[in-house]
Formats: sequence, C-alpha cells, structure tokens
Amino acid sequence: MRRLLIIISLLLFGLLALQCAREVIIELPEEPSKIVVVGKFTTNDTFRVRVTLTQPVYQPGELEAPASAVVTVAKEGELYAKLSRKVTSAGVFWQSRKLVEPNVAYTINVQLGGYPLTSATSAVPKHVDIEPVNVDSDNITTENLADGRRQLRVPIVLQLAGPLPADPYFAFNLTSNIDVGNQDPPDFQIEDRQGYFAVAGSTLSLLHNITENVVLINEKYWSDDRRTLHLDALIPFDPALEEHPVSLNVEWRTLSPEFYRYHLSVARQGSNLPLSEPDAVFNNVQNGYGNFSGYSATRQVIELPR
Amino acid sequence: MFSLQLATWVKALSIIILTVACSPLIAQQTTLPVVDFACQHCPPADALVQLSRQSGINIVFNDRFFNRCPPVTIAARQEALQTVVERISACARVSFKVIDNQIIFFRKTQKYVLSGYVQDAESGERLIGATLRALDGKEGGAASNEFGFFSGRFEEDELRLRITMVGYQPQILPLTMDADRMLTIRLRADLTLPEVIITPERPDSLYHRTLGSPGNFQPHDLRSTPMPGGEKDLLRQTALQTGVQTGVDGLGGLHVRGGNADQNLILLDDVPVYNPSHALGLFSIFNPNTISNVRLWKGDFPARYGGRASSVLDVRTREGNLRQFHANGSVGLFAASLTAEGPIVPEKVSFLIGVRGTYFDPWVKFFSKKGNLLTFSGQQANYQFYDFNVKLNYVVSPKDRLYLSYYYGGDKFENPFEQKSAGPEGALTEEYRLQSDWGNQIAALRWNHVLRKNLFTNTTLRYSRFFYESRLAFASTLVTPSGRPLILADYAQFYRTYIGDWSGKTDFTAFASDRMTLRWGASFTQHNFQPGALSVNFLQPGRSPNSIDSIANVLLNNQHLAAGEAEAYFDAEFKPIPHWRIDAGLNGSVFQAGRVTYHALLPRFRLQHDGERGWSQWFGYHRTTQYLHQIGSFNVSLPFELWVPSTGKVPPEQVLQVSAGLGWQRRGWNWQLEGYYKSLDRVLTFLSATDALYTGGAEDASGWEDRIAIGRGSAQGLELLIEKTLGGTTGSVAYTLSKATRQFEEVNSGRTFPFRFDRRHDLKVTVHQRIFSWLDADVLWSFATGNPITLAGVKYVHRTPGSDLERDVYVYTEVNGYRLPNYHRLDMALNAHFKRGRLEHAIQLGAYNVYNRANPFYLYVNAGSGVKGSAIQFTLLPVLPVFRYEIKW
Repeated sequence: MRRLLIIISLLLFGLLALQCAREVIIELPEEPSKIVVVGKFTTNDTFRVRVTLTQPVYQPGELEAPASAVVTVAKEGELYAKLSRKVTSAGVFWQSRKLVEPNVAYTINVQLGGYPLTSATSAVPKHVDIEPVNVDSDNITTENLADGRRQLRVPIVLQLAGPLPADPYFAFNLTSNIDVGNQDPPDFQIEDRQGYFAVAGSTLSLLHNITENVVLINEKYWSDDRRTLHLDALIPFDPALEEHPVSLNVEWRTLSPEFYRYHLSVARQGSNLPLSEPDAVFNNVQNGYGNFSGYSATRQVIELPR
Repeated sequence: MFSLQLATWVKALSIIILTVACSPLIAQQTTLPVVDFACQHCPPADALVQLSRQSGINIVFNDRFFNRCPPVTIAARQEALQTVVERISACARVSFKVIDNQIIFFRKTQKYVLSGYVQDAESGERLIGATLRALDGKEGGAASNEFGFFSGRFEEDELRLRITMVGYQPQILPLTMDADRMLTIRLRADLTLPEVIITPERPDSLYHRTLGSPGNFQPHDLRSTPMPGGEKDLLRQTALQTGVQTGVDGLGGLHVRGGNADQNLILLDDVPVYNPSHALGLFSIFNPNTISNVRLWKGDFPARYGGRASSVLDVRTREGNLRQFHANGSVGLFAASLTAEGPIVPEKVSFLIGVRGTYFDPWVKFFSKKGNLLTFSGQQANYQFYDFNVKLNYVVSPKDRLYLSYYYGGDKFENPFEQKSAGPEGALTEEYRLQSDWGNQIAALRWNHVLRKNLFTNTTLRYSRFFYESRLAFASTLVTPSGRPLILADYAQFYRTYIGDWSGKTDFTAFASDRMTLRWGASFTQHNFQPGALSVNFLQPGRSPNSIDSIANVLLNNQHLAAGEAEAYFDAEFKPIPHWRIDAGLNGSVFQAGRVTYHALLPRFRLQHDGERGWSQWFGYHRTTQYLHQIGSFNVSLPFELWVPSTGKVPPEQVLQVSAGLGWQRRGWNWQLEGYYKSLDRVLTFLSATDALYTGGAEDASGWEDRIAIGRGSAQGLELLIEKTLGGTTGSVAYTLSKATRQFEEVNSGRTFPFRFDRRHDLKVTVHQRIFSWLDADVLWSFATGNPITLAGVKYVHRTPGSDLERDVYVYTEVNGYRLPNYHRLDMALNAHFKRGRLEHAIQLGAYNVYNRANPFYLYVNAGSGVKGSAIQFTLLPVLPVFRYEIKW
C-alpha cells in the first residue's frame, strides 16, 4: 500500500508540472499578399474606397496604404472616373469627382506594381422604399433607465412600399434629433444621435449589427411573405441636461447583393467563438479581397410630440 | 456441336429425374408374401424379429425406435406381411420401406418446439445472445433474444444440446424431445475464460462470434481497459471499434462511419437517450456496473430500429439478482459508485439500484489553473455529474415478466466570479455567476409475454427527457466617494431547451421455423420540444428570472413544438439453405409536426454466408431516415445544441449505406475486413457559428429554421479488425481507413469540404496480458490522423472611408482545410483481482496518455504575435493517473 501511495504521489506531482495550453509553431496555410479594396457607393455621391494590402495573421498592426496605387472606375467597360488619393485625419482613401448614377454597374480597377490587376463590380440597386412611417402618440411611452436617464419608446412599422424583390436585401438605421434647453428656441439641437430599438426575439435573431451605421435585415426575415417590420424605436435622453427628443430619423437602404453578403459575413465572423466553425467572409474582389458595393437609401423624419 | 452437348445433358438430366421420382414406386412394387403370424403380449422389437424369422424377409430396425411402445398382441391369418409389420410398429413414430426384399425402418421426422429462457445460474438474470445447438450432427438451434427468450425446433430424439455464451461456461444439456417443451437454462459465469487452452474437448467453435454487425460487448470488456481516472466507460469502449470515431480525447460525441453524433440511436433499455455523455463527452452516462449487454450496429441495422440514420447502440441494464443480495462499490480518481441488487421476493421480484457521483472539483480547478480551454475565471468553478439507476424485475408467471427501469442523471456547472477595483470614481464591484444544469430522465415499463411456444411479445411504455438550463447573472455596482451606491448594470437571464418524449411500443417475435424468425411491431412517440427559450431581466434589481415564466414581460422566446412519430416494421431472419442467412425488413414511418407530414418506407437487407472453415462473407444495404435533428456548429458536443423536429422548412435527413465484408475465425483468432459507402442527404448545420451561439444561450432560439443550411455528405471507408480472443495474451488491432465529406450550398462557396470529424487513418491496438491468475496488464495505443480545422491565413482591416467602425477580417483556408497534428496516445494499466472470504476485490492502477503526448484539442493562429507560424494549441488531457478500487460482496 505504501508503494502504491508513492506511485500515486509521483504521478500527481508529474501532473501538476504540466501545461495544457502552449504556443506552438505550425506551417500556416499562408498566401502571398493581395490588394484589399473596401468601399461603398450610392446615387449622387462620389466613389470613395480604401486600398490596402493583406498581411499574415501573425503580423501586428496594419500595413500602410500603397501610395502608388492607380484606382479607376469603369462604366460599361469604359473608363468613367479616375480616383485620387486623399489623406485625411480619418485615414487614406481614394475618391472620384464624378457622381454615382443609379442602376449602372461600375467596375473598380486597382493597379499596383507587383500585383495583378484587381477589380470588383457592383451597382446601386433599384430602391424599394418603405411606406411613410406613422407614429401614434398614444402608444409612445417613457421609461426610466438605471443611470438616471429616461427613454422614449416609440412603436413604428416599416412596411415595404413595393413588391418584395427577388433579392430582399435591406438595412435600416434609427437616429434622433434632440433639443437641448428648456427655452424656445432651444439652446441647440443634437442631430442624428444614434438610436436603439427593441423587437420580438424571433425578429431580433434576424437583425445584424454590422460595421456600418445600419442594421442589416436577414433575407430570411422576408421568407414568409412578410412585408412589415415592427419595432420599438428607443430614444434615450437626459432630463437633467434638459434634453427633449423632437424627431425620429429613419434611414432605409436597399442593398446590392455584394453589400449584403459581405457585411453579413463580416458581422458573423466577428462573433465567432473558440471551438466554433469560423465564418468565411464573402469576397467580390477579383485577385484581391474586400468589398466594393452599392446601395440606395431614403430617409424619413418623423416629428415626435413634445 | 453445342446442340449435341445440350441434348446429351437434357437426356442425362431426364434419367436422373425419372430415377429419383420413381424410386419409391419401384420400392413399393416389390412383392411381399402373405403370412400367418401370432404373438401374445410381445414387445414390438421381439415381434418383428419373430416375424422376420418366420417370413424369411430381413427386417432392419433400431431397438430404440420401439423403446416406449407397450407390448403388442397380434393374430394374423393370411395377411400381407406389410400389413402385419404396420400393425406391430403402429405404436412408434416410424415408417418403413421395402428395398431389395428387405424391410427397412426409418424414424419418422417429427420436430418439437423447445422454448424458454437462458439465465445466469447465480443471479437468475436473463442472458442475451446465448446460442443453443443440437450436437451429434442433429439439426436444430436457437439464440436467446434481448430478453433472454429462445425458441427453436428440434427433431424428436434423445438430444445433446450445447448452450454457449461469451463469458459463461458452455453447458451440454441431455434432453429427450418427445413433445414441445419450455425450459429455463442456467449458465454459470466462466471466470477462467481468458485462460482457456484449445483442446479437442473444447473446440474453438464454442467461441465463434457472429462476424459483422452487431458488435457485442459484455460488462467484463469494460473492466480492464485503462480509462481516465480509472472510470470505466462504455462510450470510450465503443470508440475502440473500427469505424467509430470521436473528437480528441472522447469529446465531440461518437461518429460512426462519417455520420453526425445525433444520427446514433442510443438506447437504454429500449428508450432513446438524447445526451449520452457527461462532462461534454469525457464520460458516458451509463453506470458500467448496471450494464448487462451492449450491441452496436454500425450500418446494416434491422428494420426494428428506426428514428436515427447512422447507427444503433443498444444498451441493456441488468435485472437484479433474484436469489441473493449483492453489492458493488467502486472508487476512482474522478467518481465513485455503488450498486446494490437482490430479491424483494425471492425468485419473484428483484431490484437493482446504482448511484454514481463525481468529485471533479479539484480537477476543474486544476485545469483552470493550467490555462486550458476549460479555464474558468476566478478558479472557483465547480462541476459535478451524477447518475441514478433503478430497476425492478417482477416474474409474474413463467410466461410473463414486468420490468420497470428508471434513470436520472445530470451535470451541474457553476462559475461564480467577483472582482473589486477602486479608482477616483469610487469602488467598483462586479459580480458574475453562471449556473448550468443539464441531464436526462428516462423511464420504461416493459411487459414480456410468451403468447405461444414460438411467439414472444414485448410491450413498452417509454419516457425520455433531456433538458439544459442555464442561469446567468451579472451585476456591477459603483460606490462613489460620497458613499452613494450606483447600480451600473444588473442583468440576469434564464435559458432553457428541452426535448421530451412519451411513447408506446409493441414488438412480436415469431420463431416460425428453424429457418425463419419473424419480427414485427409498431410504436408511437409524442415528441415535445422547447428549442431555446430565453427570459431576460435588465435593470430590475432583485427580479432575476428563475424560470421562463417568471418575468414574462421580457420573455424573448418561449416556443413549444410538438410532433408525433408513428413507426411500424417487419423483419425476417431467413436461412434458406445451410450456411446462408438473409435479414430483410421494411421500416415504415409517419412524422407529423404542425401541418407538415412526412412519411417513409425504407428497406433493410443483409445477406451473410458463414462457411465451413470459419469463413464468413456478408453484404448489407440499408436506408434510413431521421426526423429529429441536433444542430450545432461547435467542435465539441455541447449540451445546449438544439434538438429540433423536421418542419416545413427543415426536411428529414436520409442515409443510404452499402457495405460488404469478409471475415475468418479459427482457434481464437478472428479477422474482419469490411468496406462501406454511405450517402447522407439533407444533413443540417447552422449557417453560421454565430447562429449556433445564439441558440446556445446567449440569445434565444427563435427563427432557428431560418438559420440553418441543408446539405449533403458522403462517407466511405475500409475497416480491418484482427482479434485474438483466447489464451493468456489477447487483444485486437482495429484499423479504419476512411473519408467523410460535407457539402452545403451556403458554406465554403458550395464546395465539398472534409467533415469535421473526418480522420483518414484511425488505429487502435489493445493487448491484454494475463500475468498471474490474479493479475493482468492492459495496454492500449491509439493513433488517428488529426482532425480537420479551419485556419486563417491572412487578414486585413475592414474600414469604409468616412466610417469610424473597423474590424479585422480573417481570410480562412478552405473549410476544414488544415489538419491538426496527428493524435496518438498510450494507456497502460495493471489489474489485480482477488477474493478474500465473500469479498471480491479489484484494483486498477496505471496511466492514461503515458508519454504525455500533447494532443491538440484546439488550435488558433496567434494573431498579431509577430512570429511566423505561431499558434496557440490547447491540450485537453495530459498524462493522468488511472486508479480504481472495486469491492464486491
């Protein structure tokens, strides 16, 4: 029995000396650097894109934008615009002077020494708008938040104005305008403060926060011939700072397939956990990565009762 | 030329047919004399001898033909000899022919039904899979079914019946078959089996196994294999079979021939088990001391098994000793168990109770310290699992028996965490508590009834429920320098998912003839689901949800689904000619969920030939369908992965499998080579791991139908098993060469990719060496190709001009395009077993993963490390001691 105890003690001692997580060096499936193009465009706006390069996963930081890149946009195979490099406090990007026209397929081309021609094509989709949003003041409620602020809950219905398209790719954004001060006119107004929303659980699971200031609606939401989206717009305000919500802004976007698929996949990848199967990101850039995609948008401003 | 040969053949054939057909006629046409014969009170044999002498006609017979005949008195005048012979022999079941002026007697072929039960001589427990065979070249045989019942036809004669079963001493039973009989056969456990030396007196044919499906395990198979902590484990034992794979160190569930884990029909006393594992797959829920018999079908399973698409693991528990009280206690490094059994009314009612609990806390804390994936913050994590089995067995009459079995087992995990910090804004306290409970509840009430000598029925009422519940609470409080407490966050949620079944089932087994056994039956199951209900409470201190309905005003989802599943089957086991066996069946099912109805009628077929010299060949074809699905996207089998029914948007899964094999067994050796091809249609996965996470408890499961992808898969492989089952050294080599893939339109751009549990090579070598009569050693070495994994190769930063939102985007290889390093491991143990008085002791001592191979369980690229190829690799089980002490009295 004594020997048995010695053996068990030795085994336990050995066990305590172990590490279960450790750094190892593996042969990564590495591929050569490629050009990355990221940009979105909409009607009557200029083309603006970021051009960078991919880098190995283990490499820290971000590579600088290649200054020598030549970026052009073609329309129906003909050169439409040459984009010029802009350096701003928000970063480096390439911008056109010409404006985007609706329902036209544009191809962006990026030329950079040592890299193959990189291109991507998309168009501003035909806009499917929503019916005017009505607010019933009787249904608006206010509630207290734990931090002392209050919150306006405004039930709204977003209803498609036209028939459901074959590719029902939509996104929305809620913002609010807030008057500050008890005087008339107020001291100043905060415009487009980011708002929030609440929906039923079955709807929430089909709404995705993406790396744009819009909420993307999963195409499967419309699979049962639904044409309406019911939600409560939540507008927090601080009475102590004399804030008063005055209007709710509803932005409604119709997305190109490239916009929808890319942003949905990026959002999903961002939520991946260890042990889960990682999500691959959609890519419409030939010989490179990223996304170049169009969207159309409208905006409604709904006055709120004082 | 050809026509001439044909004519010759036809002529020859005609002569043969005419000769055979007319031979009785020719025999009957022989003229016999007319005789006068008288005999007073003569035994028939004496009368025949006397008649032979008197008539001069030779009469050939066996004395035994007339053993039981009373003396006869004959007074015949001028009667045909044939008539006189008939009168003398009328008392016996004989017939005679006149051949070459001789009268030759034959015994009339008469068969009687021998039926009954085979049971353990000591405990009275019924034994599954015992075989009965008539010796001395006589025809007839039978095998005991899953309730120990057998029925077979044997010729009227003095028989010697040999009864064999693995783990029991073979028994030769002399028997006179002169009427239908019902017997209870008692076999004694053969504790010396591994030492058996092959001699002419003990031919190795005694230990012949049925090659191919099903694989059979007995409880003693679990006794000596080294397993983590010394805990005997059925699922780990199952994973030692060819074609059965798991994730690393057993995590991830069983994957049989490239099938999903949810495609295994795991039955505990005929009741489906939805979650067969504890501790995410490290241990199985089956208390090994309560197991009686286990059968595994990897493919061509009979039509009586339905509802799952890939395999069947049929686990039967023991019935309890009808004669004596016994108990068995076991202490290992991770868990302890106690089993007690005995008669409540001797020979009439028995019980079996088994409890098992774990003391896993120190290990969880140890793993937490080691930075394992199972790391829990605060090192205060607490994990336990427990099992409770009870079984009552009531012998109502020789033809009726009732069983009541119940299982309750579960897992509990708790991870509390509190962190305090101080700053210029005040003292911040953050409290976090996660509690999770999950488990199974299973009950069955069964009634066995022998309707007729060759017709057996079993009726079962079943209940099976699997649940997962988690409570999560988070509170953050700031006490300002002025002493004013501010609640910054107060969040609580309650999440639940469950599946619960009520069902009724009746099965009939008819032993129609000694060549054919028929089975048929029907069942109905009512499924109830709650696929991920979530109740959340924000910012309302003191109102943490403890149930789904407690704060319905913030309930996010409380969907209840119901579905009905009806099934009927017909199975035939047919032996058309010696050595050939056909198992053919049809399984029909109807499934209704809401307004959607699915139905299927699926064939099962298996042809087996068992040759003279130990050779066997077999071929199987089967199609299955599955109406229930467990969908997940993780690489381990997590308890909160949802069980959901087929609906209008989610069709049933379908599998087709074709297999063929070749085997040989002789003198304690057997080897089998089997190939298979399997096509899986309509397999499911979440469109995104994010969706799986949502259903996993972070969010509710609403809209789950819209978040899954439906695809297809295929699997093919070659399995080689070489076993030595007799002698002082026994063991096996099990090798599988396989490939399993999946394809979903929405995943990997629609391209086919390797199944996440695909392993090209899988090898398991086991050796059991008897050292002394009280000591033996076991060695297990396993090797497998690393599991496929998806890894990122390059990355870029996503940020659109004018936006302040950015995110690192990783560009992955093909889905599952990278292989983890190969898995291999050596386990060793010494097993000592001895008896002192009435106590039997057994000690197992050894090590799991002896050479401490750091088998990668999970690996991710160390993003931003600056070192090329740097990755963080997690290992689950390092070298672990194996220790178990068992005492039986």
